[in-house]
Amino acid sequence: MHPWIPTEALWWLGLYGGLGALVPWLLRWTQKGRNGLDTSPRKLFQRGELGLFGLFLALSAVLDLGRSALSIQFIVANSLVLGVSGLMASAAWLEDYSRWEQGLASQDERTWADSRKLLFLVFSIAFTTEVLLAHSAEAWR
Amino acid sequence: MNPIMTPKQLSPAKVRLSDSAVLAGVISVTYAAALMFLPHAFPEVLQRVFDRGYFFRTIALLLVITNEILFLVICKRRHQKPNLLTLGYIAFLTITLVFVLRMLVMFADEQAQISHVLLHMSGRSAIGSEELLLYTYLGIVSGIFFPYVLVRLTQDYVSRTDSAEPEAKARGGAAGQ
Repeated sequence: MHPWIPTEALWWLGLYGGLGALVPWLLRWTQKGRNGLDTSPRKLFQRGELGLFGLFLALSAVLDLGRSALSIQFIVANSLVLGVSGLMASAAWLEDYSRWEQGLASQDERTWADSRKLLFLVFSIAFTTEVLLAHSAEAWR
Repeated sequence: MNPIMTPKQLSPAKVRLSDSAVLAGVISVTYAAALMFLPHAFPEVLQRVFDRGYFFRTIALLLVITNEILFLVICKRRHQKPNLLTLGYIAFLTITLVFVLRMLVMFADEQAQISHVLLHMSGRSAIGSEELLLYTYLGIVSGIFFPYVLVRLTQDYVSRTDSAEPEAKARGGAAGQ
């Protein structure tokens, strides 16, 4: 059994994961000493910001998919799956924002859980799509 | 279960968008891991199942079982009452999605056959294991996530209609007076 490591997909995963979640958390963490802030990810992304990041992640994967040489029906169908999951993830942020705009009580716990789970879905679909793209490129070379 | 709560007090099941997200995500990552650790064997297994003719039946059966178990787990965790109508609706949506996947694969298969005949291409005259790998992934992930999205949208629509009816009646009554 010889495992195959898709380095491009792993690089892509690290880049987006780093820029979307790790860098904001590190920035907040550096300010901990000065302002005494709560640096837990739950506190940082409690308004569903992870869901918004999920939408950008889905869009970037859709753009990447569009540049590939795969069949048009697969590109359209996979873009649809990514687009819908990205929209659902961003809906968690949008719902919380709408509540805040109308002066209603925020459901932080629910928003945090929904955005986290839906980001995981978008992230895993985007990652597997990148792995499949790399695998197809290598197989058809 | 909450000891105070009796079975009769259970509220009807309400699905949330994130319910199926974790399972679909885990399956998606597992699929990528299977491809990374078995880059040749995994597509070949799929191809063998497809060639033997029970590919779609197997996928449909596995997805229906997974979705029904997930729904029952969600209901149990939230102390909600699972109803047969929702279970049937989830099964119907899952089978419909597998049917859409079947159409996509058949279309790709015919495309491969046409290009084989017209362009005198060498090799397989039907859909290859690489393409099958792509469509199987699409079918599995959408087969878990989309039925729950559609169930949620239907539940929202039904609850909106239910709450709009008494309001309309009250408005009609006020206008009559």
